[in-house]
Amino acid sequence: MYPVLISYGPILLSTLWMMIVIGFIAACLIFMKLALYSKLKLYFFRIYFFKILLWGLLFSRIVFILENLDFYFADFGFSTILRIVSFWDKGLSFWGAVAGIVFAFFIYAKREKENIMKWLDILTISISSSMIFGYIGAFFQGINYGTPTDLPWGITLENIEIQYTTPIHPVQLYGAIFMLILTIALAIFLLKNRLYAVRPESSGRTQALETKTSRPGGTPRQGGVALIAAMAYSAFRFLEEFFRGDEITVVLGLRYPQWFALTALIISLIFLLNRYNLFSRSFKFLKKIKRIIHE
Amino acid sequence: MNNFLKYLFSPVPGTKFAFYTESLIFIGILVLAAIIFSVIAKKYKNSAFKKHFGGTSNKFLLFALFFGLVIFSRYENIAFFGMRFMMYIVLGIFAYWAIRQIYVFFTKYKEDSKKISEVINAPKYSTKKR
Repeated sequence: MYPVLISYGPILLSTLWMMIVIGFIAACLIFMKLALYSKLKLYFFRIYFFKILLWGLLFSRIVFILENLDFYFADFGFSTILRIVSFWDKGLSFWGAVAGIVFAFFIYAKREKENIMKWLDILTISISSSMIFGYIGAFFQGINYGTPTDLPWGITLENIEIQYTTPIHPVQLYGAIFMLILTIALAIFLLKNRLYAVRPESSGRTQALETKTSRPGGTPRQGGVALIAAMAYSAFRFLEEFFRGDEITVVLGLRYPQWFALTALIISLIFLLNRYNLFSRSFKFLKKIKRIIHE
Repeated sequence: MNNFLKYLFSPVPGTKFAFYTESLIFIGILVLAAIIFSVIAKKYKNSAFKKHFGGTSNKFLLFALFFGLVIFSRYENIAFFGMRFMMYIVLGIFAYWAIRQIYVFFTKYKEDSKKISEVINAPKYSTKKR
């Protein structure tokens, strides 16, 4: 743990915020490079960047307040309003931010008639790269800690806010490693055009067009990277929550964020199957299994 | 074997480390090398040099930064970032990169600079009749 990076008199620089800033810069650099590579219109992002960011911040704060209603509405008065507005108390929800950014992005992209899926692919890679630093920042801050473990890599964090004095899972580092692998894999998918569309057999003009593209299996479909990232991250988050030791509301035996992760996983899975025309294949596969079981 | 793995992968190896001063000197040398290479790259306008050693100065700085971070983590007793394995990984990558740069200098760079000098010294216009 190393929550304070620099402290000089009244000036105090938190390691978590420093990591968030580094993550933001890294995300911007990666985003610019990929946007130029994919030949996207950068003016769209230049115009709506702050609006999208504000929507993300707003949603993130609202969701966090809804999660912690008891704390924010313990008493009613001027102090309550101040507490709600002061977002620098690190009270932001990740899922809220994602929802806000996607919502704002969808509205503005539709207004400008932009290809939303193409933008989302690139945004996903840049956001996942920034999340590596977010996880490392959380590790330094000592938040989002894990449950006790006997494994050799379990660590003891000395902090009053952490309820365990025994070695615990370094869950934040699991997250950082996972995000690093995911970012690299997604970047390879995008740059090498690995996500080919599964197309029905075509003939005539379309076949002639396909031969022109000279890619095995046709052109890649936009949005595949974003959907795979959403699926992979929500699946990871669902599993990660089993190793989390910090207290949070538990609903029907699952932690609160696990329900969010499960919903995101199901939605992204449906979209992915639909996008690659895999529904009929999946049904056929399930029917085959059913037949084998009956026999 | 088990002891060796414990030595290498211990998440918190402790702040006791005999080479803090030497490490700082090494970081200083890396930063100095980065400055010298950036000056040479600006003054020495050889395309072969730019091709093979254009990014060397930035790489020196990057290694200095990573090594500095690892040593700082060890000093502050930060788990995982200060582990011995991280330090050896950074040093190993640096050693590999340095050997590769030396190999490139004695092989590809010399070949390329010879070719370029031949192209530059070849007379474009001649008054002699053929």
